[in-house]
Amino acid sequence: MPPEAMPVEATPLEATSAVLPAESRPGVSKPNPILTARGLVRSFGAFKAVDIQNLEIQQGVITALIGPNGAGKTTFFNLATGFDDTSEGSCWFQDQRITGLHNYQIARLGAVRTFQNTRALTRLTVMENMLFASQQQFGERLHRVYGAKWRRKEQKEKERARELLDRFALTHMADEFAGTLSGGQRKLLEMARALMAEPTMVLLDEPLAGVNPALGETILEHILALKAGGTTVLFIEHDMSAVRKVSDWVICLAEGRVIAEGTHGEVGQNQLVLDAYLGSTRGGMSDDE
Amino acid sequence: MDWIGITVAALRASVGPVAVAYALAGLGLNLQFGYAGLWNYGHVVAVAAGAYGAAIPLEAGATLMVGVLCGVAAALVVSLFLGVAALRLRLDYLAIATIAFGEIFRQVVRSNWAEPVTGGVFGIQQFARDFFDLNPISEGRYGWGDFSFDHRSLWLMIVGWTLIVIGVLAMYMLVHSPWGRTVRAIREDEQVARSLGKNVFFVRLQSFMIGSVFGAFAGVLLAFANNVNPDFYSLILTFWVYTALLIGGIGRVLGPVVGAVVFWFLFQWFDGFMQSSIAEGWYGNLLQTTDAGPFRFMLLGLILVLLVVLRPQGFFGDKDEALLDAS
Amino acid sequence: MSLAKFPHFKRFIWSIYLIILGAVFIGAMGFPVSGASGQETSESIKGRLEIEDTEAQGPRKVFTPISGVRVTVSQDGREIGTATSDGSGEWSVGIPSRGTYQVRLHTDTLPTGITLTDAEKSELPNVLVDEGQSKTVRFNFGPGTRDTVSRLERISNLVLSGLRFGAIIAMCSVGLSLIYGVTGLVNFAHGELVTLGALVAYYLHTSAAGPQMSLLLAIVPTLIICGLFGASMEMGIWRPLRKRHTSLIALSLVSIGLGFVLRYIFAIVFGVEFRSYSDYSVQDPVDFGWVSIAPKNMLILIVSVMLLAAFGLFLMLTRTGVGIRAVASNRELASVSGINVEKVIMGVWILGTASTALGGIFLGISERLDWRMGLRLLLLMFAAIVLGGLGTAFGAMLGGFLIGLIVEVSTYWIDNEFKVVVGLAVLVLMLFVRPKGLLGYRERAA
Repeated sequence: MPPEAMPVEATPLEATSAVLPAESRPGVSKPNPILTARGLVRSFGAFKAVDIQNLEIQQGVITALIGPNGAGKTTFFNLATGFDDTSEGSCWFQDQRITGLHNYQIARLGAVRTFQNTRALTRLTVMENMLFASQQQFGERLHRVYGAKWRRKEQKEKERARELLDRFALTHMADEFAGTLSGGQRKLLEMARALMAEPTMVLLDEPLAGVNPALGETILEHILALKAGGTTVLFIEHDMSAVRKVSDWVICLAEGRVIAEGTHGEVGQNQLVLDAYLGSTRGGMSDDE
Repeated sequence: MDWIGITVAALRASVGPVAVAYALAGLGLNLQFGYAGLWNYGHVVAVAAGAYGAAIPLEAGATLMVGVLCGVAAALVVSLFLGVAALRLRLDYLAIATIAFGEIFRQVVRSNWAEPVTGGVFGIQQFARDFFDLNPISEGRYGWGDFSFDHRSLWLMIVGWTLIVIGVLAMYMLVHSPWGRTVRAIREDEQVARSLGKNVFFVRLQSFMIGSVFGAFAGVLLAFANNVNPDFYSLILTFWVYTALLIGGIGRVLGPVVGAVVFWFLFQWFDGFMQSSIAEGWYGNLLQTTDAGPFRFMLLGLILVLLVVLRPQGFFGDKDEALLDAS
Repeated sequence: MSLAKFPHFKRFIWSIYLIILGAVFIGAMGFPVSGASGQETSESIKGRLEIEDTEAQGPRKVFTPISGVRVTVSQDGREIGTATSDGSGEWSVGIPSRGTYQVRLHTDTLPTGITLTDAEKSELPNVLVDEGQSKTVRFNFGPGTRDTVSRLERISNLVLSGLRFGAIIAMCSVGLSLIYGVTGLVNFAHGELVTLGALVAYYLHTSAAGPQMSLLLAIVPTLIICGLFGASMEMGIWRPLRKRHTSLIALSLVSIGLGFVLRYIFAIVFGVEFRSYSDYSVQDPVDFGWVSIAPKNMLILIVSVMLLAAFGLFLMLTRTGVGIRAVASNRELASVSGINVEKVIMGVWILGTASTALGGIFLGISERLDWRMGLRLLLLMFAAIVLGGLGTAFGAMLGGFLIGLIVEVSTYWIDNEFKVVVGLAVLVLMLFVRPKGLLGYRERAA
């Protein structure tokens, strides 16, 4: 943990979620950071896909990561969750340096991500998809496979999975192959599956991409529910109205750098952000207000 | 043409010791390829390691138990080495690495350099006395008419089919456990598994090594049945096990057993049919009796192609469970 | 499954049918029907005992056969077999399998007046026989001894032989690598394309029932036939399967099955024995001081290098070539930038099969022909393309020459029997150290 972020004491989540940083400049330090990046660089040859001096994600709030296409949002996700190799700099999750850890180790610490393209495990049933994600599978260790104990423990996990499936309206599909789900249902399953892992933080890569407006609303409600349950959310999104609806804090990336941070109101009026979106030929800020 | 004779001979082959060994090897390959999605084209290494691992100490005078354990241990060591090295690769590279390793293994054991230990090109003979000494069946042939086996084959079959029953039960429990679920999930999407905290490499290594243990038992059984000859363990063996597996259905616990039985039935039936039909001059001058062997292999190759294309779920499988289909 | 899900089913079955029919047709027309067993060919050691008739006139050497001489083959003291030379001086002993053998000539059975040039050479202690090989050993009779070759000579000859072998591997693997590059198919039937080229040329050139054209002339129709064969495979099998989004592993299993089908058709049609082209089968090596090489091998090396260079220029300079490289490096990107990917893939199949066939002919000229010649080369081709970089043409060329060199030169230090092992060890090492290969442009590690 970098020294300037050290003195943070764990405070009740209800309190922290309300207290946002006083300033809104890029790289501002926040009351209770859960994920921290310092001097984080990912370069491909001379091109720097990500070049972040300083970035903190606050615990217990919903942070949106926006930016034009090619801004390095997904690359940042990959670096933070160990799915890509960092060229320079480091990330910390809670009090632990996670750069250099394997991606599955980071996930075990409690930072679980989803992917831009929905990835259902198609030839597993929906229930199996859920159970597989659990971090408390007694029978997942090979030497316990032939014991009887895991079956009892599995029952508890099944109950938890059923509750989650209920919440995401997937109960009726529990015993179907995940491959038979519709695109929207797969999105829901992916979120439910991530929650099954009981993460302290979820990183959602474009949870609304390719989803119809009604389902989009549902997903946004789920995101809000996550925060209510104490889970930190970081999500990448293009749709500014969605960002406005749920996010407490917005971070804008462009050309790999953090160009603006603040509440959605502040970021929405930031000239740099507008320039970044207008200057980008491939992307656009979709704002329907 | 003696249709009944051909069919009975084929039935005999379909439950005989070699088919049993194929079923055991197939059980292992099914875990690796069917459940874990590992593109292992060098399964023959595990089989050969089992055969040599058992034959070498047995020939040197070790007890039967020690010999069999050495065979299994040899397969475990070889697969650990290969797995640690190759399982980090992308899957199509894994295929090339394993097939190359299989050929390296064969060439080394058959070399003059290794001959003092492995018997080189001559292999190892006459080491299974302890095994056959345990045979409770008295000398003679048993069965009905042509469908009969000598006491040695019968003893091999009793042991082999017992192993298969145990193996199938063990495999059933494995793949229906949370561990098996993780193995299958990794096959579906390793990135998702990683994002949910699963150590993909470790689980793959586990399934690779367990699959090799099954291969080792197949090798030990083959060694008892046919002695040990290096050229038996060419890379072709792997692909016949694949064909058998595809016939029975990939990713189904009983698939490899059914597959091995059907494969050896077809193998022997084609052989008998081709021999007789050529002898009866069905094809004029086009085919000679010596062409029966190659023709049979050609038909099996054709079956492999058509199975993958038309029935990836196997002869008896359910389409939804087809693992080879469109990804 | 219902056939409706596989609209190209008919075409698929037809092409398999046609492939089989075509091969059987060629067989019925051309090749002498085989007589040997369908399993393995048995290895043997043979030779012809003869003495040069120094009094004969004319430009050609004349040899007189020596009959009635006993030769014994043994292995580590175990006698394998004994033969007596016949009227034409020939003898042959069958051996159980490949390995190193000792061959002893019983000097007491030699006719009076004939002696070995080197009396100590009555026993050859290290006769290495390859799989399926019928090894010819030679005893020299008459006055004088052959000088032993110097170290430098040995190694320079190995380098040259390695370059020759490397050129053949490179010719054969360019197609394999490019096909992988543009379609992702790991084609385990590629070895059979090597054999196909060699055998079609055999039919056109040597076979009694064929047109018996000269080998150089026969190359052209052979390449056309093989190119068309590649195109028909692409049309009939690979394209429909790709359209169905069949997984790559399923495709590779299809290629394995197809390899079996083709290989055993070769075994039935061509037979399981080794043969040679009637042209250029025996050539005396030309001595260049340090190195000596048969003219045919020199020519193979030069022509291969020229053709590979031309192919490289084609890839670098022409529109089609650039298209091929673009598709090989990134199919989606190439597709959106307006390249007709399907057309490029078809071109690669045609070119790849034809160049592979040429490599097969070269292999047949340089060594011998049999139904498994391509299979034996397959893993070395994989070694070459992994070493150079999977999916790249230049990588396959570089890798081919390197593997050829490594394999041949390694025999200077390491026993001949580990030749292929050395090549495969390079492959395995490369996969672990640098999976993308020397010239690869993509990360391949999982």
